[in-house]
Amino acid sequence: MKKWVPTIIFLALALLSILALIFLPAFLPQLAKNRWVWIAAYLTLAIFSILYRDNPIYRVAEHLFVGIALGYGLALTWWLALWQIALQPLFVEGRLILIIPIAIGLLYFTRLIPKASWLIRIPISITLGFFSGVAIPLIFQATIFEHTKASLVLPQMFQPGNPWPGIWAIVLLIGILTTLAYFFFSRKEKSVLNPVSKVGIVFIMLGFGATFGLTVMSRVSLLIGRVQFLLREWLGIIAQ
Amino acid sequence: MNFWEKLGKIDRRIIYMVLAVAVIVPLILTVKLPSKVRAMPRTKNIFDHIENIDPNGERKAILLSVDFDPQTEPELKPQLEAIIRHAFARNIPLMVMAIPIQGTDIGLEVLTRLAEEHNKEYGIDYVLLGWKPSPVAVILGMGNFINQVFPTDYFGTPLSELPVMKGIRNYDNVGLVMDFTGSSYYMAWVIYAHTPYDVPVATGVTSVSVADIYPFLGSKQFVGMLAGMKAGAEYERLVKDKYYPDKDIFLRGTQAMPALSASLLVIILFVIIGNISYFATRRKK
Repeated sequence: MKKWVPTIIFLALALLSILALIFLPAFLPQLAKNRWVWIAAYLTLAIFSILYRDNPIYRVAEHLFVGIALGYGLALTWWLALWQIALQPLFVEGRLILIIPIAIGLLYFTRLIPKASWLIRIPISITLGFFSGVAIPLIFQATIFEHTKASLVLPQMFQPGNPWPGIWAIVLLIGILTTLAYFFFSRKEKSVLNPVSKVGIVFIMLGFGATFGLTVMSRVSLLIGRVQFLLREWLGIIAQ
Repeated sequence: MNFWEKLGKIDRRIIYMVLAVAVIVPLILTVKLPSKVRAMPRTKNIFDHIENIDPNGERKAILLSVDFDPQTEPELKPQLEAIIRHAFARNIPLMVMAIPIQGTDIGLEVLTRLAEEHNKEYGIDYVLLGWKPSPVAVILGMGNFINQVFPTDYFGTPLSELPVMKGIRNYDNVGLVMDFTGSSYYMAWVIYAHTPYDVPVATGVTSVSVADIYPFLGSKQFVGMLAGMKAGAEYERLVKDKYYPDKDIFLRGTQAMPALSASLLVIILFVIIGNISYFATRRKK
């Protein structure tokens, strides 16, 4: 395809949309009247155009997305964080104590001054110290201890008439042990762990298969979401 | 190139076209689903938990953390809307916040729209707490005093002036924390809210994350899990069947289900075709 073809298509689409805006409401009264919905629809179609091949229309939409996302995040961060949490309380309400955390935070920028760059260690060490102290015991509790406890096979899991919780607990335990055996690399060539680790591979493959299937479902759901937008909000041809 | 080889080399654009048809046709034809949809236990557990929060007993709120951005909206918005509808239907005070900054605007849009639909009033029935930096400090801090972390709501009104916050001080007054996320923020809620404060936590996630969350369901650290658009549709139906059986409300997830089923069938078909082609051509080689 010639390089100018996508530009021509884009211009033709723009012209068609202007004509559609004028004439289509007579035939499709449910068509979106909000011009932002039209822009969103065009940008969605522009992004979908990558499915055919790389083209300038896709790149325009992609760059717009990156730029807008960055600007949006920056504006929100300025308003909700810097202004509301730091600058307004300091300068408007006169809470002078905030000078200390703001000054410590500003030390991150000393990275840009070679002679003073060692000062960056101060905010980094404070952040690391705080988060390590808070996180390490809680993470151990929430993940290692709780999950180990949950993998135990207990007699009360085998209720008369409903042995399934117990059976699944055994399957889970086998899965955990054999998967761990697979990742035990420093074993001998004829180790007893070798056949055990082969069972572990089966569990790992089942996990990969489930994750892949779920990923496909997730991506398809995102596509459906955009198609719903095009058919509902833009064209108004499915239930409002 | 014989038939089997051709089958294995179908142009990807043809596959995209078939997939597009599989998505668009069921949406346009508004294929009807069976009147009763069987919800998965992990979905039903959240519904039952919210059903057990007594609005006339000890005052307990639901805290929703909108931790997603527009990229994962199609999967998570139906879940968020369904949970908000459920809370509104049961007159449970609702607090909404966000860990990533973009979540605040999504939360505001959904809350405003659904509050209008259900005649709920801002400050009386629900509040948008907004966003604060440092998730760990925010989640831990709310275990002590919510109004110390969020002295004001998103619009700058002091929380103490809002009737919805009456009697709600910390996680002791929260019946359920529900985190909607397209990434791994659910971990932060388990580690920093459930583990130290024992507050019930549930999560709504994209399908991609589901496998990572099962260990937390097995250990009962999560009350339940809404997994992707499908769980959103399940929850929509649970809420509609119980509270709005005759009301005409738009159910985003339910509407998408026939398209999801059709497109997954198409993908399964292409996977089978690809495998048949692979084995047929491999034998020849």
